[in-house]
Amino acid sequence: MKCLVGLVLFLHWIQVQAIFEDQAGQNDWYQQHIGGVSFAEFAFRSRERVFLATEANVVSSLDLRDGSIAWRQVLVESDTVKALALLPKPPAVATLSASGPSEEYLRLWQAHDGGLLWERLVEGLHSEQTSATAAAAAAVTAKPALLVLPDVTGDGASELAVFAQRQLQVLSGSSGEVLWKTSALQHWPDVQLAHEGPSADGSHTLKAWALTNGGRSVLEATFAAKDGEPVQEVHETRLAAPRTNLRRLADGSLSQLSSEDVAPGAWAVSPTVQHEGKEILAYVAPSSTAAAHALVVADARSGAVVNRVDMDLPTSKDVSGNLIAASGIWMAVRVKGQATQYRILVALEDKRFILIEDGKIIWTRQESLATLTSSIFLELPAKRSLATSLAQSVPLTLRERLEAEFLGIKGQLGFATAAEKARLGSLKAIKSQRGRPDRDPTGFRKLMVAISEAGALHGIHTGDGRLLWTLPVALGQQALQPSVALLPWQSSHDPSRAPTVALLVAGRPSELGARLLIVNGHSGVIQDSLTLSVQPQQIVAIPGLVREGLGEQSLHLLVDGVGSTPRLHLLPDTPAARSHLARLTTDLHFWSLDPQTGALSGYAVDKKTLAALQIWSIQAAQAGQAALTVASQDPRDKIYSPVKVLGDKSLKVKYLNPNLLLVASGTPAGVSSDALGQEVQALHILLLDTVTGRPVFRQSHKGARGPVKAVLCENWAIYQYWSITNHRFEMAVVELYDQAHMGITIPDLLLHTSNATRSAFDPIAIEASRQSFYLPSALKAFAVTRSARGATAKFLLFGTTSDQVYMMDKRQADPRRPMGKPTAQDMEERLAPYQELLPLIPQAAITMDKQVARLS
Amino acid sequence: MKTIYLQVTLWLGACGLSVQALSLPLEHAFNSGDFAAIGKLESPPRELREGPPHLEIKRKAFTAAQRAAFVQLVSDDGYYRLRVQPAEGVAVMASMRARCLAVSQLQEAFEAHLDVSGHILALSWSTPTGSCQAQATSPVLPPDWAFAEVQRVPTRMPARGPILHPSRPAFSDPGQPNPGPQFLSEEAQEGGSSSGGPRQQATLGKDNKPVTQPEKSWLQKNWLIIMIGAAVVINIISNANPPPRESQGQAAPARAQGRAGSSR
Repeated sequence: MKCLVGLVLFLHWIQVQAIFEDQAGQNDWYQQHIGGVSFAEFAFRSRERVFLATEANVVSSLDLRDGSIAWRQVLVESDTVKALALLPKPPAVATLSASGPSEEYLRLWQAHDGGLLWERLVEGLHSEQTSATAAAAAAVTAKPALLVLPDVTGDGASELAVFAQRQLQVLSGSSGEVLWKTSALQHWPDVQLAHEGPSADGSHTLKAWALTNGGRSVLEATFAAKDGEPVQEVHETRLAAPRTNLRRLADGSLSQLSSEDVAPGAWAVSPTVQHEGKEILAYVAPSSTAAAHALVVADARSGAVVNRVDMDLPTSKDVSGNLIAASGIWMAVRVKGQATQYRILVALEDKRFILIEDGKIIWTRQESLATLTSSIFLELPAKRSLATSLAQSVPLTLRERLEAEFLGIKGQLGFATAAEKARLGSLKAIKSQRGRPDRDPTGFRKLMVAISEAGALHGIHTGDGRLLWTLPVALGQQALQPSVALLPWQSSHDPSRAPTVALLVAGRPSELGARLLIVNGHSGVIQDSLTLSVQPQQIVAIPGLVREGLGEQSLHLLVDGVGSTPRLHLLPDTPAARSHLARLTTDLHFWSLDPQTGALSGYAVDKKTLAALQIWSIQAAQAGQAALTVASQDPRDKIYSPVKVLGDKSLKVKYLNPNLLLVASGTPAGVSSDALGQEVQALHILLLDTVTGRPVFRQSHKGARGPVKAVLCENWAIYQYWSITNHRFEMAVVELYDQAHMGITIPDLLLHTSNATRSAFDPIAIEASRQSFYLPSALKAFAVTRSARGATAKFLLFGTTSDQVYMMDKRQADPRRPMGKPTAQDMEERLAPYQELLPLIPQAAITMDKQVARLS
Repeated sequence: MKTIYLQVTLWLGACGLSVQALSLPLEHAFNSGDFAAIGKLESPPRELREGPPHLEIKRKAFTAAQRAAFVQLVSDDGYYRLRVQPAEGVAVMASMRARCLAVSQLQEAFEAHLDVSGHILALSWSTPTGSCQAQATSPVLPPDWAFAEVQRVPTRMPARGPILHPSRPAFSDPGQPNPGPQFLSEEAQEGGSSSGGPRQQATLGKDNKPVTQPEKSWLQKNWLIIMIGAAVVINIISNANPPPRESQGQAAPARAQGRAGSSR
C-alpha cells in the first residue's frame, strides 16, 4: 500500500512539458479597470463596498477589503456621468449622465450586482417655454443636482429629486415614474438640493437654493416632497459679502464658510459626513517637502481639526517637475468599539486610487491603465540575471513546491478553503513560466510599453499582465493633448543593453517646440530629454535602421506645416542618420488627408535637402461628402507567396503594392440619411498608389454610408459599411490581381525575373475580384492577424459592439466562393459555396465570456 | 485666371452616364516653381466624340524660356507638374519626373477619373509603357521636341459595388386583391461578383412576375410516404403468415434473451 502511495506521488511529481486540451485558448490574464474616479459613495454599513462613477463613464462597485471590482457597467463613451447618489431602499445606485445638451438620463443600478433597474430620459421644458427664456438659459450653467429623499409615497422605496434640464422633478425610486415636477427654478444657476424632515406631522420637504447676483445673494425655495406644493415661495436673501461657495449644514442653516476657510491650501476636500451629531470633512494638506502630506479630518462648521495623520502619500513629480496632487477625496467613519476609524479614499491626478485607513494604505488601483491609447512591444532581457530592474518573481523553494502539490490534491478532492485556493493560485502563478522576466525561445513573452490618455507611460509584462513600471509624463491639462506619440528608438543585439522608446510630447502653446523623451524600456527611466524646434503634425517612419555604436537606431521624419508648405526634420538629426538617408535606394514619399474636404495630397521628399514637394493631389471625396476612413498596409506585414494557386493548378499573380491606400468616402457622420434621401447617398471606395497618386481601383455602393471599418492587407481589402437599402451592415471584399502576368506557371516563377521589384510608376492592368456579404454585427474595431513570415493563414479580427473579439478565417470572405454547387476545381481550392451571411459563431469569440470595454 | 464652366449635359451612349461638357484651365510648374497657365482640359467637340468617352488636353507650345527650364529640369532630375483647377473643390495635380518624359521622347498617357456627375477627381499621368529606368544615362531630347498639342485623356468611372438583395416580401399593386406576401429572391438581378460563378437568375414571366412552377400532383408529392406505408403493410402480412418452424425449443431461449436485454 505504501508503495502504491509512493508511486502515485511520484507520478504526480513528473513535470509535464505540454498543456492539456482544456488549457488551450484560456486567457493568460484579464484585467478590468474603471478609469479616474470622479464620484464615490460608501455603501451602507452591512457591506464593505464603495460605489463609483469615473471619468471614463464607468459606474462600478469596489470591494473595500482588497479593491477588487465587484461589478462595473460601462456607459457609452459620450455619456458623461454628472451625479451619483445611493438609495437605501431598494439598495441601489442612481446616476445622472448626459450624452448631449438635451439628453440626460437617470438610471438606477442594483447595488449588489449592478443590474439596471430602470432608465429614464429627463424631459426638458417645451419649446415655447424655452424660446422665451433662451437667453436666460444660455447663461445658466447646466450643472445638475441629484438627491435621495425618504419614502414619501409609501411604496417602500426611496424617492429621487433631480434638477436637470432646468426642471426640478421628484421621481419614484421603485419605477422611475415622475411624481411631480416644477419649472419654477428654471432661471436659477447651479441649484443645490437638501432634504428636511420629517416634521411633527410626518411630512418631508425639499429645499433648493442657489447663489445668484454674482454671489451677493441666495435664492431659496421649499417644496413639499410628496406633491411639490410650495411650502415657502422663492425668496432672495442678501449676503454680507460675496461668496463663491455655500455649505449647507445639518440643521438647515447655510454656512458661510467656504472650503478655503475650513481647509486652507487643501488639494481636495471631501463631502461632509455626519458623525456623532457633528459634520466633518476630510482634506489633504500638502506639505512643502512633498514627501509627508497630512490627511486632516476637520469640523465642517468651525474648521477645527478632529484628526490629523501625517503620512507618506505615494505622490511624486511628473517629468516636468510638477507635483502629482490629489484630485478627489471621500471619507467614511466607522466606530469599532472605542476607536473611531476614518476610511479615506484618495484619487490622485495620475489616476491612482488609494484607500487609507488610520494612515495606512490598504490598497492602490492604477486606473491610468483604463485609457491606453498606443503601445510598442519590446524584447525582455535576454537572461534572468540581466532583468534586475524588472520586478521578478523568486523561484519556488522545495517546501513551497510541496505545499503547492498538497494544496492541489486537496483542491481536487474538494477540501480546500477559499484562502487555500488563493494561496494555490499565487503559488501556481510563481511556478508558471509566464511571468519570467526574461525572453522565451519562441518570443511570445514581451514587454509592452503603452501610453495612456492620463499621460502616463507604463511597462507591462505580457506573460502575466503585471505592471513593471510607470512614468508620469504629462498630467492635468497637458495630459488631454492628443499629440503624444510613442516611437521605437533604439534596439541592440547586445544583451546587456535595454531597448529604448521615444516619447514625443507636444509642447505648451508658450513653448516653441515639442519635447522628446528617451525612455529605457526595461526600467522606465528617462535616459535623455530634449526640446525640439518643431511642433510635428505628422511622423513618417524612414525604412531601415542606422547602426550607432552597439545600438540600432530607428529614424523618423517629423513633418510640420502639413497642408501649406511642409517642413521636414530628421529625428535624430545626426551625421550617420543623414548619410543613411542619402544612401537610401528608395524614394521617400508621404501623404496627408483633410477628412472634411477629402483633399488628399502626396509629397516627395528630397533626401539631400530634406525639402518636401507636393507632387500630386486628388479629390478623394465627392462634393458634399467626407473621407470616412483610411486604411493602409502594415509595413511589418510579410508576404509569403506572390501568387495564388487555383483549383486547376494555374497561378494568379497578386497585385502587391506596399504603397496602396484605401480611402472610403460618403455621407459625413452626423448628417441624417432621411434628410438626404436614399438615392443620392453612396459610399465610394478608392484604392490608390500613394507614390504617384494614381487611382488603382474605384468602386461605389449606392444606398450605403458609414461608419466604415476597413483593413488592407497583401492584395485584398475588406470593409464594413451600413446599407441604407437593406438596413443591415454589409461587408465587401476586393482582391486585386495582376492581369499583366496571366497564364504564368511555376517554372516561369522559378526561371524568370517576374518577381523583380516593381516601380510604382509602372501602371499595371488589374483584375478585381469582388463580393459582398452581410455581417450580423456593427464593428468597433477591425484588424487582421500577422505572423513573422506571413506563412500562416490570415484571420480577420472583429471587435463587436458587445465588446467581444471574434476571429474569422479570411477564406470565408473569399470573393471567389462559388454560387450554387462547387465544381471539382472549387473543391480542390477548398472554396465553400457562397452564402450571403457571414455568421459570427460564438465558439470563434477569442475573448470567450469576457468583455473588453472600449475596443478601438 | 478665368474659369470657363459650361453647363451642357450630354449623354454618353449606352452607359447612361451624364458627363458635363467641361473646360478647365491647365497649369504647369517646373519642380517647386510657381504654376502658370499652359492649356486646357476639356471635352472634345460634339462632332468628334467617337469611341469610348474621353477628354482632351490642349497645350500651347513652350516658349524659349520654358524650353530651357524643361531641359534644366531633365538634367536636375526634377518633377514636372500639371494642375487642373475645377470650379469647386481642391485642385487636381499630377506630376512626373522630367527625365521619364525625356526617355519616352515626350510620349504620355493620361487618364481622368471622374465621379458619376462628371467632376474630375484625379488625373493619372505616365509614359505609355510606364517605364522610367534610364537613371544612369542622361537622356537626350531630340532637337525639335514638343508636347502633343492635343492629347486624348480616356475617362474612368467607378465600378459598381456588388449588390446584396435580401429575400423580402413583395406586395401586389394597391387596388388589386392581395394574394398574400410572396418571397422573391432578387439576389442576382443586378449582377454582383465580377468573377466567381454565374448567379442563379430569377426567371420572370411576361407580366414581370416570377414564373411559378406547375404544382405537382398528390402522387408526385407523397410517393415516398406511400412506398413506406406499402412496405410496412407487406412486412405485417408476411409476419402474419410465418413459415413453419422446425422446432419450438430453439425459439424459446431467444425470446427470453430479448426480454432480458430490454429490461436492462
